[in-house]
Amino acid sequence: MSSTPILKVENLVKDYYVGVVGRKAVRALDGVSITVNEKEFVALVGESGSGKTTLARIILRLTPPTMGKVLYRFKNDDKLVDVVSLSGDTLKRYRAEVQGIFQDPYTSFNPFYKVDRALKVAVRKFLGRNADEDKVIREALTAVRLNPDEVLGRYPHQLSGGQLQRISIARALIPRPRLLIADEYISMVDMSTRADIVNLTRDLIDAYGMSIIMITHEMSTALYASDRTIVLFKGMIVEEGDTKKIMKNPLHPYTQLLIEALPSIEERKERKILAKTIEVQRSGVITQAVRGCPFAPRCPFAKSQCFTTKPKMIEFEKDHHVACWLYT
Amino acid sequence: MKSGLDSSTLFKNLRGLKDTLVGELFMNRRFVVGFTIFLGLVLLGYVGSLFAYPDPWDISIYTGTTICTPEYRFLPPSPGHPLGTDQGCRDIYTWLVVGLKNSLWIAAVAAIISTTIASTLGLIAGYRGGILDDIINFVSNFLMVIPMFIVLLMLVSYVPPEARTSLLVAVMIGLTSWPGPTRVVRSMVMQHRAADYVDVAKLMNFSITEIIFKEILPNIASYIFLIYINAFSGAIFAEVGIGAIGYGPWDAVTLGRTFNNIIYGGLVFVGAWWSFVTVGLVIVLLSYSLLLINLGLQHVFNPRLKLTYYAV
Amino acid sequence: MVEDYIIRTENLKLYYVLPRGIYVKAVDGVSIEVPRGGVIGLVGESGSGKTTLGEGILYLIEPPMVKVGGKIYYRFHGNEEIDVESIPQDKLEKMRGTDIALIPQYAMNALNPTMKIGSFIKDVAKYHDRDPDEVLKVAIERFKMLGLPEDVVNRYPHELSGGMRQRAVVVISTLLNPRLVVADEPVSNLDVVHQQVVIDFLTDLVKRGIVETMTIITHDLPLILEKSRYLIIMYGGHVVETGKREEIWSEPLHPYTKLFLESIPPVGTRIEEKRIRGIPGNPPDLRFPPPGCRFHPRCPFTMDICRREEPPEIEVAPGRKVKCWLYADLKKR
Repeated sequence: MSSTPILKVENLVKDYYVGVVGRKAVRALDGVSITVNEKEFVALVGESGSGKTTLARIILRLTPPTMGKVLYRFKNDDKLVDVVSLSGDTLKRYRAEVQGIFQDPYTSFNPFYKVDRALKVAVRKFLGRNADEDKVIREALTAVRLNPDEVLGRYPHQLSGGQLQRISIARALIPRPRLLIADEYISMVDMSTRADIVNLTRDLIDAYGMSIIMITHEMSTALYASDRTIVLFKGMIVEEGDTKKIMKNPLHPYTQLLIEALPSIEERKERKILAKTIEVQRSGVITQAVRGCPFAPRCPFAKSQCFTTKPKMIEFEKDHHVACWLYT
Repeated sequence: MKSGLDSSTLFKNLRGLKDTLVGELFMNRRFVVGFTIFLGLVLLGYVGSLFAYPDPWDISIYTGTTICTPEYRFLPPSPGHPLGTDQGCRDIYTWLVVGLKNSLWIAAVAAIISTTIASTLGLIAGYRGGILDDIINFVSNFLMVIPMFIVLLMLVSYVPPEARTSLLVAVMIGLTSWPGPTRVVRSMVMQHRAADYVDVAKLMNFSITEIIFKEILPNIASYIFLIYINAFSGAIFAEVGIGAIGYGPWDAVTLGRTFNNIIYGGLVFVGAWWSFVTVGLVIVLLSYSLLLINLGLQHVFNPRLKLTYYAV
Repeated sequence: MVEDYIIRTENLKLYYVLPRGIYVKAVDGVSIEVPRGGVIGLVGESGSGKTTLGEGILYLIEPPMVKVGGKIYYRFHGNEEIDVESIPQDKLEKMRGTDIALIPQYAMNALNPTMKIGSFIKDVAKYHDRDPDEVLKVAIERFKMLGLPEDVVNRYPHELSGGMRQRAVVVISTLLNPRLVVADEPVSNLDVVHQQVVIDFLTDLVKRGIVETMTIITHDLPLILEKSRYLIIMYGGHVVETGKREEIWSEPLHPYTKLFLESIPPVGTRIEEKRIRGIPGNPPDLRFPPPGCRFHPRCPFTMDICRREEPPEIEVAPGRKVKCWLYADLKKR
């Protein structure tokens, strides 16, 4: 097993242009760098507007970045290669090794076809026409803990969200990828069935030797299952590191806020940071700090420095980095 | 987070819709009545033509000469002439059924042309986006504001009678009715293009053509069919419209032409009610049956779409 | 029976009629009482029937939904029950907005796209004979409470993000201080921070006495357990358990409730130390629900009778009900 990471995103910037006349640039990603190693379960946590889906789409080569590099190490290779400009056969090879699953199980399948077709396509495109289609498909479905006879031959609308997401996982696994990007893949699945899908994901990582970037807006899943957690806020990484370390000691106020905001069945939680954030919000107009930390306008601990200069990522302890003026 | 309702639940129910669509259409009274009448008229046109005189213009078959003489003019209905004859000794029944047959053919061809143009442009504009989309959008919006019937009339009037064939008229009708449907196709394509399964197809190394034909097209196929039916309807009216004023095809007898002949030929004046009542009735029934078919189709398609918005 | 309730249903059956005579049995014999005052949670996942029940108790029954049976009683004023169907239509309409209000699911799409938010609010005020400017002032105050900037009133709906529209609709629906508010999934498409903000806003309205009873329909059991005082839990078109929040989280009776609670990893649990289990299987198809207990295909405690007969509703204490064969002997007492 190589110690070189399999994926290295360097200073990724993505701008979107809004408006037909006088186009304004909206910066979705502002210099994001992440690393993913072999057999790693990475959780990318962020709310809507954080740029998490944009990042996923760029890694999956569905959208080009404005600036920056996406470096990937192919199987049996030592070097990292920039995938942004890949085309032709190398791109096809990339697709076989880097797969994705999306949020909405019902729109991830073409409603015109039975779900079998999605799996058959995966076999044909990645394993060739000589592959034993039926065998591969049955094995894939069993691997995601579905009974093939219960789901084959059905149309997407006849199956539940949980079943469809498992089939999507099966579909993504057919080319035996090394990296799976799961974009909010359980947020549209019934809550009572999410744990099983997360457990399955963990088991698949071990069984298939692959890595996963699980994109979510909920800290609870990240804290429960991931090896590493990356917290994204308005296009900037504010904290990242070993999940257990972050759980024990969340450094960035935003991370603390995310953990605070989780519902607590047992007693009515005290949510100090949330209360302060709401106060700050209500007191004035929310300006976007053009320079400086994007969280500053909402941060209860913001100093003047936070509004003028973007904090740099520093190593607080081994495997635990934070970008916040409170710690520099 | 995405709002999953619209596309998600829509897609959830879209497929179920296809399964029972045909069955359901035939349970809709309007559709069944309209379809039956229309079918009857199609039979009247095609089968009826088998019993008609071979050439609508050739009066020698029953008069013996090519010159029209008074004893064969404005004849009342008789075994040899179920609807009598007109001012030129021509058999009205033949004109009616052959005209009907030809009009149906012209409408079918015109509808194919406008539907094909609309589908192609709609697919390009909806999928590609960008400049191409802007251009197609602009042009179709612009054309939609102009009453295309007038444009059609202008176009046909420029063509000298000898050159005005049925095919040409069909093409012209087709060319003047694509803007509206194009926008419909475009918006449907855009909806599907944004769906995750298109992204999944990209992840599966699908080429753009594969995506358009294998992923998007099947989903909009039934709507393209609807568009075709609509186009057919419109084309019939267009043909009867321009034909009635005398600008229809010159190489064949059509319903519009028959209508025109009856009005301007003096049959009304001489009180040959069996002629204009029947022809009028056929035109009315044709319009009515097409209207019923349209309503039936809409009723079946739309409440289905409305149903998809319930959350349990 | 709950002591003080404002709405009561008796064996309510609400089905959706699909073409070709197929019925979706969304609410299939539900008898509940909605207690007066406080935050009440109506909880269920996909295919539970919770939205339908929510609409049903407000008597917003429109095709393709039909009331196949049962009764709905209102008890807003005093101790007298009134059958909803005996209330004249115009009186019912007047009640909506001022006495009872619904914040529909995906409400963010409910705003009139051709009107600025402010104009819409003024219209609403005028329709209910209130001073438009006063109402607008209150609206702006409440917008600020939810973190929306003041100039929202000068914007059109499409100029706001989905989350902002959602919050705007929550404010507008409660603007006239209705006594009963039914909010259908008011926070499901908001991020965790704004979820707390909006839920707190809603519970705050109750705390300050502006709204008497707030019924929140949601699939998020942990969230509503924290914020409510009483819960009604639905599964497959039936109400499977009701009770006070403390009772439910400390001693859930119905297997569904138990398993649901156990499927949420508490903060601090790690997967390598303790595996959290979800509920296996899938929710029932309400067109063809399973015989007997609707939960039996997924229940680890299934007995033979569960597969054959629909379980009875057992009231173990006033307001504390469970619909499960495990507790059938209690009924005999």
